[in-house]
Amino acid sequence: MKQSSIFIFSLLSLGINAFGQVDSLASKNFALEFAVDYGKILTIPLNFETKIEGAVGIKFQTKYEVLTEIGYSELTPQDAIKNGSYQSKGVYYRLGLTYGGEILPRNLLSIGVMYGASNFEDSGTVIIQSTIWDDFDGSFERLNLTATWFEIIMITEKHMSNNLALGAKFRFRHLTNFINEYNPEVIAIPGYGKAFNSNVPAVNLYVKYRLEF
Amino acid sequence: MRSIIKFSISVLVLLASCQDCEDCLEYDNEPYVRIRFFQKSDLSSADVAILEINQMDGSDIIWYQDTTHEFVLPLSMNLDESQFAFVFAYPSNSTIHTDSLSILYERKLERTIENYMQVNNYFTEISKYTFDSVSLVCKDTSGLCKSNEAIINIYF
Repeated sequence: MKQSSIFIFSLLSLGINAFGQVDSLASKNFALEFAVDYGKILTIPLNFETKIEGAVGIKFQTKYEVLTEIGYSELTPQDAIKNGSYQSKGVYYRLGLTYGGEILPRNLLSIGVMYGASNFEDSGTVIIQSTIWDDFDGSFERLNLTATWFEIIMITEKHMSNNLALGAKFRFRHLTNFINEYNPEVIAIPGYGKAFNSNVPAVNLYVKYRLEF
Repeated sequence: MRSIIKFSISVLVLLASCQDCEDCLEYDNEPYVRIRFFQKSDLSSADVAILEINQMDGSDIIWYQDTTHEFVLPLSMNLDESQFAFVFAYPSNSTIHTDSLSILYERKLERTIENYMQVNNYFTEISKYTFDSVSLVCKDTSGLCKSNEAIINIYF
């Protein structure tokens, strides 16, 4: 298993098991929730990639939530181009609706669908050695790229108090609108993942603060 | 004893015939195309010898001196056109004849499964030639014509 995967699952385990079980949540009909993806922030010092992501949710009738997520990524996938370099960066957002509730005291489970979009740019360099002529020494840059996708999402959440929670989002993304006819192909889409995979799984870890009304 | 010597010579000849031919090999990084020569039916194969094929554009000139009927020609990674000059000898009447071939293509940067970028050339047209006729045979007839998988048949 890749080192990054082990790290992410360690964080996930920490998030879910950090707190013991207590009484059920006292939920009101309307809540405003703010979340920050701590998994992405914690990976920045490990020299993976620069990713920042946050979310705002409006929860009503204790079971439904309109969820908005926004993030920024600078992706430099390792060995994306072994005889050159590659970077993809941009802003992305997701909008969706989830449904769920408390399945155990202070443990919530939700499922939902989201629509995501990314506005990004990528660039890279390529050096190809030639034994006959001059080496090929090229670069490329594409600006104003856009991609959209749908996600099926499952959320598990552990509440430490009525206001504070740790959670994980398991996503299955399906790329709906991105024609990769560029020369060379786009490799990574911020907020989505590898551009040449039309379906990708993903996991987010977050800490959430909730205001109830 | 004689049979052992015969067998040894046969093995040596076989090994020698299997050695790599520089003109027949694919190139490491450069895109390439295979060419085949077809002579007119009224000429015997011994009547014509291919003396030289040289790259007309390029800092280094590559010489091919062989009489085999299939060659692998490297195509430029830095230009959208490669030009070749061919020199033929007609031993029967001691004449030398030169023909040229110019190939246009679209260059694409594509990643290999090992994540190395390489230039692949896709033919658009064979723009100019001085042979009797030239035909392009693509592996994928419905889509793009990748040079590494194509053969150019040259009739003279």
